[in-house]
Amino acid sequence: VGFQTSVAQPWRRTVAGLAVTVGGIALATGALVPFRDHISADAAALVLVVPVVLGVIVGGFPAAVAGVIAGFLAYDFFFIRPFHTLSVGRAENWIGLVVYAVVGLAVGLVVDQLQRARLEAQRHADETQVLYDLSRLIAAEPTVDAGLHRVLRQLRGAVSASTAAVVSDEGDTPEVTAIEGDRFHDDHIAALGPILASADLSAGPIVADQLTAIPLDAPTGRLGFLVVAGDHLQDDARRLLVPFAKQMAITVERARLAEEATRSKTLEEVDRLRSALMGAVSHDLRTPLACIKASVSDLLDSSVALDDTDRVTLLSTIEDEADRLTRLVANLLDMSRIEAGALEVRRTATPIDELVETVVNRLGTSVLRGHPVTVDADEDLPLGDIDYVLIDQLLTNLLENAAQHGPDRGPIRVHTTCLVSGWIDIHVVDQGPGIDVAERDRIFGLFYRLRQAGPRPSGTGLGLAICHAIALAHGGRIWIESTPGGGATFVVRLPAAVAQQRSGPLLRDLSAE
Amino acid sequence: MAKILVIDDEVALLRALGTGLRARGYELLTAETGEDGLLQAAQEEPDVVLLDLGLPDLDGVEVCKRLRKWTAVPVVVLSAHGTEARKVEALDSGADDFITKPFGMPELEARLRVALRHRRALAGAPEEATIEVGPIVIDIAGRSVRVDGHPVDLTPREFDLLAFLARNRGRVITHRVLLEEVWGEGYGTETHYLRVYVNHLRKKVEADPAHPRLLHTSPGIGYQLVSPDESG
Repeated sequence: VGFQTSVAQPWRRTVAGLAVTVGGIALATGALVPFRDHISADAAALVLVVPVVLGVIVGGFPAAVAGVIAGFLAYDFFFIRPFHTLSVGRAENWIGLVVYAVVGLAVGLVVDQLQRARLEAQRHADETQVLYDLSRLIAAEPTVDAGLHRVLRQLRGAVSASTAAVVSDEGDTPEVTAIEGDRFHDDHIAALGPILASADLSAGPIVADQLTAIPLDAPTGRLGFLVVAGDHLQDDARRLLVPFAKQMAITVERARLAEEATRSKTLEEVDRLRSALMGAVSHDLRTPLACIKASVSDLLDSSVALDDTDRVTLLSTIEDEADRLTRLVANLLDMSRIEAGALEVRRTATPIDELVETVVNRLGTSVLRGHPVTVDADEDLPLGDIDYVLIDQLLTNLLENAAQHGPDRGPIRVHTTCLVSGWIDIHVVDQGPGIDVAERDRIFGLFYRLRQAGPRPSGTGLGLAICHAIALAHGGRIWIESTPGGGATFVVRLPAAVAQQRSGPLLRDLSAE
Repeated sequence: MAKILVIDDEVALLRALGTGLRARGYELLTAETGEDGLLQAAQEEPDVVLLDLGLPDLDGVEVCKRLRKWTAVPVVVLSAHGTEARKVEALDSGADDFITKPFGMPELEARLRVALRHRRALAGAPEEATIEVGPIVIDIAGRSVRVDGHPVDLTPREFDLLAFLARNRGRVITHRVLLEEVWGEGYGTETHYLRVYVNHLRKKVEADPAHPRLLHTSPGIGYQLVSPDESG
């Protein structure tokens, strides 16, 4: 950040200017003296104007004055006869001397003014750059707080301060909201309180005891004070802090408002999804209840003659729907555990292929909707190092999903294999419409289904989100591939138990018929 | 034998309803999507349609609107939403009645009987001179009402309200429709008028106004006039 140019100390400039003029005149005099018999005194006077002009550019008007005096003396002493005396001699020599002085001073004045204007323009450009960089810095950070710290760090470096901080003056004692550099002493802060409270803020920065405080006034109110501490803080830098603080206040406020807007938008979205989830959950709970109620009320209605087939149909409906409620409640419980970060994995060495069979048999026709399910596995499949309750739930959800989305009575295959040493892959293969590559990652998100457009989301979409969480909790993962010939293949990779092998061929057709 | 078309995507519910309704002597048609339901309604001409509002392809209200474009078949909405707004929307789109899931089979059968009788009554005389609903006899042309044979004095507004409900007996009429039909355009939200007039009417036509058997309230939705023997 370009504070450096404008903070360069002015007395150094003057000294440099004096050196240039006086040195220049000495050099020019030395160079011209051997030829003084061959050139006119007027020509020497013209040459002696040059060091004055150069001195002004470096050191400003004081250098011009010094240069004119030195040049005047050198001109008189070395180039006006009689040489080596200060006597002027003829009257026309006076004219030369006076013209030299007037021209030297006039040129000095003009050049000095140009130089000042140039420096002023440079300073403005620097300030603009600083302010611009500031707003960019706040906007570039993910949070306003981070942006604030970065700006203070930058500012501290630019003005060579030991500390740059934002201090809030709400409440009885000032409170440091962000600080970069050395910590304030406690007595510094205590001293700051009454100063901030009593100071006349319109008079510019408040300076007290190595501390400079500038109010951060945003359009909607005061955000606090920018406080800079340092032993060698220049007035120039201090002056620049005022527009800096003004711009900083506006930028910080804008960033805060934007942050607030984003936060409330996010909350709104979460709110909307939560109520959508509630709607979907209550729909999923009510549907089995509606079936159970209709069936039970029928069985209880003595005015209706039901035959044995009817009774069996109604009773098995009740059983299936009770199971469906159980699965939904299990998913809801898992979800709340996952959300609370309380999903506990109790690992035991488990034969995964047997677990798959158990789940498929338990689900039966009602869940699998008449899809024939084939289960097969590698012959020398290692045991899985898994929580079988959780993996049971994962397989249930995957099979329910495959049955829901596969075509009528389309076959489902569950293939368990060990492709990568130390890991067991379960493939659940359906022949449904498949899943777009673009959708494959998002489908495991909690609210995926609920985000879908359409007259009604078909279910809560909890199932796949839970599968994902369970796979991750095991240190494994879940992903989707395309089934050759159409359809989706869900692959779950789970850890194998170390150094245990089991054998036993498994290839059974568990047709759901 | 009455033909019932059930449009619902829940296979288990279709099975449970099917078993119960067949055992009660109804002929049953089922559709799992709105499109299939509309097709079957056209081909099979059912006597009553039971319509779920949450279908996978079409919104239930949309199915109702499409049915109403060409048929007066009674539509009873099965709603799992529990939100009154959806029911009102369906009723305003031409549904006759609603039943909230979960429901018992006897309750469903009662609604079916009302719907079926309503259909027969409408099929009989499109412009009736007199309408009978249980003990109430309404002389439309003479603008007079008798209950159990005794004349009853009604204000013109009360008469219009009773006559409109009677012409649509068996149907749940929403507040908005009643207000616009009886009071006129612009009264669609003045439901407190309705409450007052319905209370007056009950005092004049019900045997026990505190326990109405003819003029039923569907809280938050509307009113329905039924014969006491239909209400199950």
